[in-house]
Amino acid sequence: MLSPRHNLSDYPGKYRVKDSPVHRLNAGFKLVAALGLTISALITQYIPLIAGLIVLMPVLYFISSLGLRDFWRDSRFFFFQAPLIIFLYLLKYEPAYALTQGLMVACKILLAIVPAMLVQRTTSASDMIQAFRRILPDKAAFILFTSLRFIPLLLRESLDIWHAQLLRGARITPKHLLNPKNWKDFSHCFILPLMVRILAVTREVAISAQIRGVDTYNAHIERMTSPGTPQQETAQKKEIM
Amino acid sequence: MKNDKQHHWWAGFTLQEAIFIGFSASMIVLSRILFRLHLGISGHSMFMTVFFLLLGKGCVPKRWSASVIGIFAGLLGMILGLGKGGPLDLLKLILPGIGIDLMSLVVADVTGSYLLCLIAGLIATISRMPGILVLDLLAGMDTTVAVQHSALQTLGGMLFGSAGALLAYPLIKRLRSFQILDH
Repeated sequence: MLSPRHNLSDYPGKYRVKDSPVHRLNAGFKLVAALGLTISALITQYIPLIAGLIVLMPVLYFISSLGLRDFWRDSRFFFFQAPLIIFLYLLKYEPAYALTQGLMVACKILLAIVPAMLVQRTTSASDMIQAFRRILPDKAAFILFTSLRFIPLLLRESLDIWHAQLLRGARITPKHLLNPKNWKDFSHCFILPLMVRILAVTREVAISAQIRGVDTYNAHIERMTSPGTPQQETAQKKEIM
Repeated sequence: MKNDKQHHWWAGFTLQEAIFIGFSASMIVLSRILFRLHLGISGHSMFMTVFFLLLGKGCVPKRWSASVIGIFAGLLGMILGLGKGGPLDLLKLILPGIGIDLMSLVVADVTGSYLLCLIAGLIATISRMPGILVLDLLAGMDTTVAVQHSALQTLGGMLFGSAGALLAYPLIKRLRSFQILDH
């Protein structure tokens, strides 16, 4: 049976468990450094700097104990982008200028994206969570981490429904989905039951969070901090006592 | 989801709605992992993105719900190491959400008919264009070439995005008709 599980094994930017100096760096620092590299690659017009950054990228992958295969997976989009950009330049400019300018722009786009891929390759989800926890509001962080925590459950539910519907003859394998005629099957046999299940899980999680005081605690805080009528304040005081 | 009796927990959403928004974002991320079709056509990921953005918007028809789904999907994508470009990838998910939400300021129910869903899908996909355009212009691309490049990149997305939008409408209609969203 053709399973979508094979897609989970590898994809561009997937975290690799290694012990390298880059892996050990702080996630926040890596994000800021990647952003710095991206910005410098985008704004520079100095060709030696662009060439230096092009050399630096595979070196950083090597220092991070990542193989050439990982570097290829993260940077191969360049070979789709560059011909397209050069072609568009050729429509407007002379071939020599179009080739050099198009190639330089394609390289700059590559250099803008690869640092972020390297951060993703060398930073575990837990380290990334720690970095986000510092910048996100509490409630947004709660929702983000709850969603993250339930991804394995949602994945399991998705695969269970997927396999059950395949056994019933639904045309929802990746091969079938290449034909738009089968998208209706995909929607009604897979997504609809999945959405019903997600809504049920949402309700269960919300109730569970309410029982743990996530909801009531904030309601209590709101009641305590918002100005009310004297009657309401008296009622609140009685309630608290 | 009708939760009028409950108070707003965060950003105008009840706790249940906020959790559902998070799960919708998770589904966008999961679908990006599970349905890598290797078509070699730019923008095919917009199929699932628009599909789940509209489903989320249909289930939580509140202001900025699609944008919040986009933000969470972008952050989850960064945490799980998905997508090409880390922080740049955030824009690719936030902008379509903002597009749908801006449409909802004009039309009350953006998921009310096939036509509205189609328009929402197209707006969502076109909303990505400024993000691609800004990146190209920052990289020093000629303005005409940058507009052509971003238009080409968006064109494939428009095709897949509108297909995802058209597929979302019957599902939302069914969920509403079975009163699944009323609890």
